[in-house]
Order: sequence, then structure tokens, then C-alpha cells
Amino acid sequence: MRAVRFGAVISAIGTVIATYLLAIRFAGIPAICGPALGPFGGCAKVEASVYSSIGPIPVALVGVIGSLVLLIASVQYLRTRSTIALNIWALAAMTGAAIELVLIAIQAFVIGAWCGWCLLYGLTVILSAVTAITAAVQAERGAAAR
Amino acid sequence: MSIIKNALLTGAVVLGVGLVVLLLSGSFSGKPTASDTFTPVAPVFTPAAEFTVGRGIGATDAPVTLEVWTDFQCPICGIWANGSEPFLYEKYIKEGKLRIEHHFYAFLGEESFTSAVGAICADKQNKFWAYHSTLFANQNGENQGGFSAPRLRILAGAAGLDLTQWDSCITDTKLRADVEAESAAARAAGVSGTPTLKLGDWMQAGIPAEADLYKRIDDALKP
Repeated sequence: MRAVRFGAVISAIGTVIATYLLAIRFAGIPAICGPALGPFGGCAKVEASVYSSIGPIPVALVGVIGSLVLLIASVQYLRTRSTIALNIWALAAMTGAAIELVLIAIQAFVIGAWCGWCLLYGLTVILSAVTAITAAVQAERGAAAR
Repeated sequence: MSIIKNALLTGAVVLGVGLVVLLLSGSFSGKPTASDTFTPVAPVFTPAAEFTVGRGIGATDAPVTLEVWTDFQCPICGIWANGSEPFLYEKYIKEGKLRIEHHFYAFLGEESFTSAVGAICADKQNKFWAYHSTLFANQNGENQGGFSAPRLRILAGAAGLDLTQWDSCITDTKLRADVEAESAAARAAGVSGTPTLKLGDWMQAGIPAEADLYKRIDDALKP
């Protein structure tokens, strides 16, 4: 269950980061992201790009919703060991991780700038996916042993 | 099917679809995707000539000045120019209460610089705002040829610029250096993204809530 706890904590961190990125977008709070972050200080460039929203929906909002789903599903699985919760967690986490890989590719090859906060958020989603798969493997092994 | 297989398959499909969409859209090629022959869209908002002075709109003695830094390629700047400025124009600028001063913060790539040089050329012909509004009505991706030299020339023509003067102006390397210097000065002054607004001591990146911005202007107008 340690892995599941880690998954829940990492999703909570992801939710905080995505909320911060959304606040930057809507409230105009200046991002703590610039030359101080070295090569990962390109948040303004990434945020100003066409890839920062899907039509009228900011990508950060999708991130907040996604991380909340991961958080709720992982906490629910931690509490109940429900197969449905594990299924939702694993599906959402793998979908999120795939989207994050695409967004990382966009930063690397299309925008040509790295946003440290976006990468950190992506890392939380990818770690959540790894944790969810680990939990699923453990659950299936447990079921097979019974 | 097991939970693991389901999740891995879903992830693989999403990753595959995402990468295919990007490849098909030409995002990875680095080559311009915008055509050099096109008909520009009419600007959403062009202020009357009587209200425009250089890169500012509004009376030069207006009691409040709002400074704005934009990058012509930035989509949020497009929302600002097409969605927010027209309301400020109607509510404050035509009343002589507000002046907007435009500054360059070109940072998104080469087309940001060339479009800003074009803006200086437009200003030399007293057509900055017509050019500004025409560009923001015709954004087409970033560094994908949306503001390539041929397209900028078409947009300049649509904004009413004399293209003979344009042709000799747009290649002026000194103007390019001016844009770079203005962008560097903006960065030094704390501008890190676009649009950035400054009203008195207040400075903010992004578009503020309409009510918040109006309140700040109204407060600044109070004696």
C-alpha cells in the first residue's frame, strides 16, 4: 500500500502545481519561472503558445481536473481496495501520462522552450501512472495467489 | 482484459493519436504551414485616426495611461487586442479618459521580430493601429509562416500601407535592432510574458478580469 500512498501524495502535488499554472493564466499572477530556473525558465513562452489551450479551455484546467481524478481514485483505492477505483486510476493515469509525453515533445521540438512547472507537473502524472500500474500488478498477483 | 492491459492500451492509443495529430499538423516539421497566398480577415477593431498618435491610442493629455506589451504572435495578445481593447476604446478612450501606449516584447520567435519591425514601418506611415489590428485578426500559429515576409506584405497592404515604402523599410536592420532593444528593455523592466499591462505602479502579465481592470482605471481617474 506504500505505492498507493505515494500515488495519492504525488497526485495531490500535481493538483497544486496545475492549480498554480491555472491561476497564472486567469489571475495574471507572475510565474516564478524565468532565468532563475535556467533552461527550464521558459514558462512565459510555453504559456503564450497556441499549445497552452485547447480552444477556449486552458491545458492547465485539464491538468487540475486530471490530477483531481487521479487523487480521488488513488485515495478511494487506498481506502476500499475497490477494483473500480483501481481501474479508473490506472486508465486516467496512463491517459494522462500519454498526454504529458506529447506535451513534453511539443516543448522540446515545437516551442523550443522548457517550462519547469509544466515538466514537474508532467512528472507527477507519469509517476502516478507508474504507481497505478504497480498497484494493479500487486492486485492481480494477490488475486492469483488467492 | 486485465486492468494493466486496459490501461497500457489506452495510454498507447492516446500517445499514438497525439503524435499522429501533431505530425499531420506539421508541428514537428519546423517548416511554414501557412500559405503565402491568402485573403486577410478584416480587423475586429480599428480605432478612428483622430484617436491614434504613433503607437498610442487616446488623447496625449488623457489623465490615465495604460502601457501594454505584446507579441504579435501571442494568441492571448490576440484576445486582448480583439476582445479587450475595443471595450476600453468605447468606454474610456473616446471619452478622453484613457490612453493606451503599445510596446513590443518580441520573444516567441523570428516572426515576432519581423512583425514588430513591420509595426515600426506602419508607424512611419501613421498606420500602426491599422497594422496592429490587421495582424491580430490574422494570427496563424507561431513561427509557422503566419507572419512570413510575403504574408506580412499582404497584411500591410490590407492595412492600407504604401507597399513601396514598406519594401524599403521592412529590411532595415536598424529597426530590427530597435525591436530587440525594446524587448530587452521590457525584460529588464520585469516583463516576462505577454500581454503585460502597466497602470501606474500596478503591473500584471495576462488579461485581468474586466471588472478589475475597469476599477483600476476608475480609481486612477479619481482626483
